[in-house]
Amino acid sequence: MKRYIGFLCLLMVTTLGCWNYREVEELGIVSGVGIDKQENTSNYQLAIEIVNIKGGQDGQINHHPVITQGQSMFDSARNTILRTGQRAYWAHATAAVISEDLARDGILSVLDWVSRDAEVRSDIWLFVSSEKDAKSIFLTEPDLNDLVSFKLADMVSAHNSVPKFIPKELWKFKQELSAPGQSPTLPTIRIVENNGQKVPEIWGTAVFRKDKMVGWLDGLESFALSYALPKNAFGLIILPTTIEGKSGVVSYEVFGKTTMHSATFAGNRALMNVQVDLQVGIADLEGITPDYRETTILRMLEEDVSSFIKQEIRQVISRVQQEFKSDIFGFGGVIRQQLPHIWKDLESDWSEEFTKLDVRVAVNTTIRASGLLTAPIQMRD
Amino acid sequence: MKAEVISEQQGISIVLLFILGNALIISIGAQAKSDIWLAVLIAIGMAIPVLTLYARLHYLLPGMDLFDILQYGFGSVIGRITGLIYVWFAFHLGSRVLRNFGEFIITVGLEETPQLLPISILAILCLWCVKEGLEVLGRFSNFFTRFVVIMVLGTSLLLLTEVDFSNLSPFLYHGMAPVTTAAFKILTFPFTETVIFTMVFSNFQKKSSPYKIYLIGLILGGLILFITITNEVLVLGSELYETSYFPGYRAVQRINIRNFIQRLEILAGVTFLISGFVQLSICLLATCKGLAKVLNFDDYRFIVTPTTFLMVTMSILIYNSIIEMNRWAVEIWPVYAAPFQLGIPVVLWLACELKMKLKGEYPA
Repeated sequence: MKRYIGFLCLLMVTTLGCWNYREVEELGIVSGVGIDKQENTSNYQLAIEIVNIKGGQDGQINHHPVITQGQSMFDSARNTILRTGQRAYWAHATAAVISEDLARDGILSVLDWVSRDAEVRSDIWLFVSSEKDAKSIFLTEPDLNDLVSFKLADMVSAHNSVPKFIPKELWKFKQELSAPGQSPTLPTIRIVENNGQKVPEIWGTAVFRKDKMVGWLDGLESFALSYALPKNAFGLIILPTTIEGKSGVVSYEVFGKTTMHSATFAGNRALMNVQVDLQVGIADLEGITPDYRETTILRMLEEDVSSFIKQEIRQVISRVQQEFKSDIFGFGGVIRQQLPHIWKDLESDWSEEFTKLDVRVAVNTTIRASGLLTAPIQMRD
Repeated sequence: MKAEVISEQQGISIVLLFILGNALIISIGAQAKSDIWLAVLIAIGMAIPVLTLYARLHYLLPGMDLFDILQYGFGSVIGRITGLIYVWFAFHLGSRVLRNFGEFIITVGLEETPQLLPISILAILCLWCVKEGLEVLGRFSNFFTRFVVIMVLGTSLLLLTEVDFSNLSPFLYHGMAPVTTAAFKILTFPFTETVIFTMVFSNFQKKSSPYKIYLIGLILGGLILFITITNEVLVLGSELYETSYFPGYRAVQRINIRNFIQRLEILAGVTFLISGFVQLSICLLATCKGLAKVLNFDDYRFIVTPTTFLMVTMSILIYNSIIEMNRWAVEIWPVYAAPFQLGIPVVLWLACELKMKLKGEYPA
């Protein structure tokens, strides 16, 4: 008797998983999804990129997305079965592209299922398509990669060297959405021509107020935005410079950047301080040959960089304040943390108060290196 | 009934795992927002006198479990009735643990599997364990504590890359009130759920053992809970912590070291499984022992099987949905559990002290 019971238990334990067991070929492994509103209806239309491995030694992967429709996100996701016979498996999805229309209507309706469903992981990358729909992004050529989503993921993982967009994972977006005194942003994707092929390019930032998109920042403004935010950003600073009557272009490579936000009191009002410290190297001199061994010239170059970055940051801040009225910098959150008693008055009407907030930007640059050359290349007759 | 003695180390392990149990995986004390770490510390502080009181009961009346003590303190009739109520309490707690476990499994993993299945498998394992007795459970806990501690601390370390300290500020933004409420809730779940142990433990190696077991178990378990919860809030932020059913699981999901160490959710699952198993076994053991004592049976083992299956059924019937389950855990449980965990023990302790003084039976 005892043996039987033991055997039964063993059977139960070892066969339990089979209940939910699905063969790999029954699954359509989703790598990415483009989310659109179907024209003239309230339905969703998803372009689901499915990893479809063809047999053989090299294992070719095709990248044609499956287009499905449905009344809700989940409905559309499940309707893949009607088109492919496979149930979509979402745990490996890396990118979700949302169309601009949807983003302007409010992105929460899209995100609810994505964050509620246990299969979709919260580290999926979110994007907004700046083309007319999100589907077209997945119809581009992934050339080097097999799949558009993987290409997007590659771009994101290398973005630190080109901070012209700010990548956002689902969890981070939700955190910004629900945090007090903070509005979210998402990177945007456009399609560009490359050797006659259409390829996706991540460029710029979509600004949200609550969950509704209110506007764009282009790539250069996003660059300034990444310098204004307390996050890692490197990249290049390209600066037209005039020294000793000659003018040219100097490129600086940023090796280190720290941004500190702090809130202080100034005459009964909150004042935001954005302190940026840059460590740069001279990477490219074109058209001019400043002798940076001279301390005065070095200081001048440093001063140039500082004032340029300061101006860019101020510009983007004032544009966001005036046009979008959306605190994508998280200044409210800083005030809440550092001056909680003031925040209590501001909280109820923050999007209005934010436009009136005084922001002081200070940039401090140190030129730390000049590549392999100790001096500009000498020219002699 | 054979007297079952457990060593101090085993006792500490059981208490530690029991405290971690469900609390590791379910969001507790969320209303304290970013000050939740303080709430946990306050709860530990509040739990120390309560657990000392439980230990004192064992110290006063060695060789007795709660049901004997109730009969000693309140007399045979009232003692038996309160004993029965405590049996219900243990039974109900066990069902809740089972249900939490089942909901966890079907929410994060096996959505199409009927909940009954994972629940029954865990219950059958517990049945076996309880039939073998407290000593087996003690050895099991002693062995598996190190796994749980290593896994919990290990995942916390791996999460360091995701930590954002601004999630903990501003300090006391909403004042002290939500923190104290949260602390009280954390006190009743999980810390003073250890009242179950007064029903299970009766014999110790040394007279001072109960103090050591309860207090060291509490402090170690409390510290681990403190580390995990603080870490979860640091990683998720208090908003996400509050809206997640299983914040522990969600936090571990975020571990991603250079795309190499990632998808470690299963660790959270295993930790939960081990500590949930101990918690459930203790509840089951308490229920069976209590029933045997109250109804005057010699041995509890023969009612373990029916009780287990009753508990499985109960766990299915107890809530209609995970939404209800969460509401119960957060809103109703503290009020419901307070008399069992705080009220009756205090009265009982006073009664015992008084009775012993009058009879002059104080232990040396």
